[in-house]
Amino acid sequence: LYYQVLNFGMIVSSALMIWKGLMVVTGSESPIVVVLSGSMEPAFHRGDLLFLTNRIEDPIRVGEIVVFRIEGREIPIVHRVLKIHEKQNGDIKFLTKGDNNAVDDRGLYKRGQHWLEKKDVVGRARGFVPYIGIVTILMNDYPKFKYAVLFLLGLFVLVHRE
Amino acid sequence: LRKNVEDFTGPRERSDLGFVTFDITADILNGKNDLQSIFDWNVKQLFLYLSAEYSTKNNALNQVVLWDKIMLRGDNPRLFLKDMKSKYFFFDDGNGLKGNRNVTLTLSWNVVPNAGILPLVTGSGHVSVPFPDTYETTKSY
Repeated sequence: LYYQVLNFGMIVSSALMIWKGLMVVTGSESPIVVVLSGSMEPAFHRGDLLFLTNRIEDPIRVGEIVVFRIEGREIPIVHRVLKIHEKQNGDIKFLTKGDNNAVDDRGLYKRGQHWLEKKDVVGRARGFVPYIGIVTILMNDYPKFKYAVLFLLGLFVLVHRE
Repeated sequence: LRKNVEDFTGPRERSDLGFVTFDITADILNGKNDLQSIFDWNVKQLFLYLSAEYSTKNNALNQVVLWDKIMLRGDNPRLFLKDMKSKYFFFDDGNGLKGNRNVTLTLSWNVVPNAGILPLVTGSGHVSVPFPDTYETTKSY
């Protein structure tokens, strides 16, 4: 039993190391995100997985797909940059819009906020894999499913003989 | 791929609003240098957009998307657009469009794969659009 606990601890800490390593390499606090809405269809659908980078040296330019958070809100939004105005010193303000939305995102921003800034950005979408993220959505929407998954994982680790 | 344009400016509240009409032609050539050739087995769609880039006193760099289009795999890869009006309002952050001789229009596209990397490609060739020194108040658009 002692061995299995150690084994389990190894798996968890390796996973954590990989995640933290990814965060450092990509510069983003959340290098992998799941698409939650249909506002970027037909490019991305609910459940697609996006890989992000957030390197400071990469300037924000129109056409790029950015993942951002609105101040005070937890949920990250995945949309495309429609307009940018950048000052000499690098300060930039930009506007976004979902491909599948008729209007730009001003209606989504905070009251009185007309632009997004670098600090609102979680990362830029560099690559993606379809469908895989559905598991996360299912786990969120159906807590019973989450417990079932965790239970099965725990069972698997305990039962697995190495 | 070719573009031609006309333009005028109008003040709205405190910011310049630009009006641009343009043509975009993208024809099928012999499998090179045309949109058809970008659609390989892993390309799901192209997100095309026409953007205007310019500098002003207020801002060293401004980019505004004037028009965009989603072209799905299987859609007609030719574009014969004439006298198109911009899809989005071309507002400047200030009054930097008036008399601006150096507004450049470029056509770019985002390649969306079935799975994998999402590159942004800029078409070669761009058109410069000079904005006039005066505002138009009577032109209907």
